[in-house]
Amino acid sequence: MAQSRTDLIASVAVILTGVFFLTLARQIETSGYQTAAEALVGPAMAPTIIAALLIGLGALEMGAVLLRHRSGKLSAQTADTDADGDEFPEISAEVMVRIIATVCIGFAYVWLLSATGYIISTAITLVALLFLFGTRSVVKLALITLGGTAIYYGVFIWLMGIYSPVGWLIHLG
Amino acid sequence: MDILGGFAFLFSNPTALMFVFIGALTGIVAGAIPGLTASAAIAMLMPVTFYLDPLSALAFLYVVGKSGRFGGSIAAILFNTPGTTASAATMRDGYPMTRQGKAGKALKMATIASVFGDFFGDIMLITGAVFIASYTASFGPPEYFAIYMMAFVVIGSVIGKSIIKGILSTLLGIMVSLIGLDPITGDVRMTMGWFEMENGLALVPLLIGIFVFSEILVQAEKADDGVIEVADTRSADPNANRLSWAEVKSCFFIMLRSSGVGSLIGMMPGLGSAVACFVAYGGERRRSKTPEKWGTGIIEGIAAPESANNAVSGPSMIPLLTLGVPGSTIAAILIGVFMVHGIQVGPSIFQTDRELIFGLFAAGLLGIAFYGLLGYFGGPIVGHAIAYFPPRLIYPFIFLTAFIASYSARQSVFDIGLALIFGVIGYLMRRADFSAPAFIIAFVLAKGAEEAFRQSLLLSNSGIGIFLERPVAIAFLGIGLAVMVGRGISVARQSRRTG
Repeated sequence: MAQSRTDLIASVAVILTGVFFLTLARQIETSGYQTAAEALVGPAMAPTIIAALLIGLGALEMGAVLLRHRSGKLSAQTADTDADGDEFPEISAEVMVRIIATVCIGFAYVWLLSATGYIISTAITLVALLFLFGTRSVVKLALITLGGTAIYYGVFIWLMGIYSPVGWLIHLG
Repeated sequence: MDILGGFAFLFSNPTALMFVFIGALTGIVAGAIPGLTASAAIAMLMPVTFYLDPLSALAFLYVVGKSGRFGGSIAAILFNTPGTTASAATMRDGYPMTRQGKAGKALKMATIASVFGDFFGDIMLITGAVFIASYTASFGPPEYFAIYMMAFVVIGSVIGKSIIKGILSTLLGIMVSLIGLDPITGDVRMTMGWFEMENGLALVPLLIGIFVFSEILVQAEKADDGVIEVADTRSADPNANRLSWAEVKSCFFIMLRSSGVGSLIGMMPGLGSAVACFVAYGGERRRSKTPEKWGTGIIEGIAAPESANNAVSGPSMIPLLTLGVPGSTIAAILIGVFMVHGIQVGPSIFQTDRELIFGLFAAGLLGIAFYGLLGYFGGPIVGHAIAYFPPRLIYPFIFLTAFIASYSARQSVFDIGLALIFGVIGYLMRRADFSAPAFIIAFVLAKGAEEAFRQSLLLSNSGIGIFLERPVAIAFLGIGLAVMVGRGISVARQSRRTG
């Protein structure tokens, strides 16, 4: 049942993606061509074809899922597996929160990098990630954060010369 | 004796030599960390190579890929968790051997088999690539388009359990690669007004998102107490961890056959080490006089998959160098490195950059020797060191490394956002059984395919019929169709058996 639901959602997502890109493809300007044949082989051709294929195959996949569901050929597993064979159990609320939190930390890191520069943003992010992944000892959090930030700054910014943006809010380093 | 010239070129470059060694060590460690594949490690390390000369850059990543395939066996044997998908079959006999107190023997066998397979594969590469390239040099746009189409169809059909999802993964990769300026007319396509997308989506953040950030989300999901369990490896028998010459000799033909299987699979775009290891394992077990012993902890059960998965490495470069079509995800990433250094992959590379290519082959051979020595004597040390650091400590640092790697490619905050978005997309793709390797390979190839198609149509008097006028193009299109149909029949049969 889990697999069927996932497949159905995935096929809808693919169709919507295809529609989205088809809309964008139709907006590509094809002016400036001497002949209709040149315009046909122009910049809009490939995106249009690929988007149409996405919609078509997405619909085919949706049809296959509905057919399997109606004929009762449900997967005996409740776990999803990916193309590499990794197993994914059904997601609980706690796990969903952890995944969303990881993504949010990533985007927060992006904002913090611009706002505070590399050192402060890295330190804050590292604390957040360590806590999220299960480190609870305050001493460990502090030591690993300080040490880790120093090493990353030393290797990437100082040694490799990667540019650290100057934070518009506050800057260290 | 171009390979001798290659060695001379390599040894005249101390930086390249150093990076071959660093690559061997890095690959072993990256492969041994459960969940962190060689592809992910290469994606994160790619920006580092932008500052290196072409030989050092390519040699480093090529050797990381080789040693990463071996490194996965350390996790498979010691932790009962494949470090890479290529080591999944090694687990079947590797971990039982560890439980019997023979972890050292298992690791030594894995090292020898990996080195054997890798050398075999590289000899196939060195002897085969030049020969094939001399034939493919005469191909024009119609032939190249047919080759790209074959690659798309084969990769989409073969990877994963569902053909439709495999092809959809390929189509999504193609779609994403079309964003940016049109390669022929320079018109802006599908950028939604974002200036940063006019040059297209950068490969490095895409790779990091799809392979690394998605894996971090998977690790965030698979919550446990964060401890990697290492089985008690002690044994009362003092010789338990010794691997004798007689034992190695007994596995010689297994390694030879498995290396042949791995090399053949490596040449086919999209199949890769994960397929090779299981095909070899299953084949040798069926051949064995004692098939019931396979899976209980025997060295033959390690020799077969490890030879096969490492034998993929060299031959997977053959379609890359002779046709410009990557035979594996790692080869697809290497295309990016070639492009950054202004080198066009394809058959002409043997005329324009012959010294570099043979230098790369030499680096591969040297890298095998390095990781063989490191693995034979240091494999258990690497394994226990990784077990000492639980995933809850490792993955936050992998996150930071991925973050700075996506930023460093173009010093662009936009790229980090892109990597995060594709991390979410990659995670959702994995959850829904879509194929990330198919997506990436299609992304890398799509622009070339579109150019070849449009050039063919513009040159042709018969429109799309030009592809039916060229025998080589028909042959490649036919191969693609045959593989897809064959796979469809196989899936249908399997479905009837289990349904």
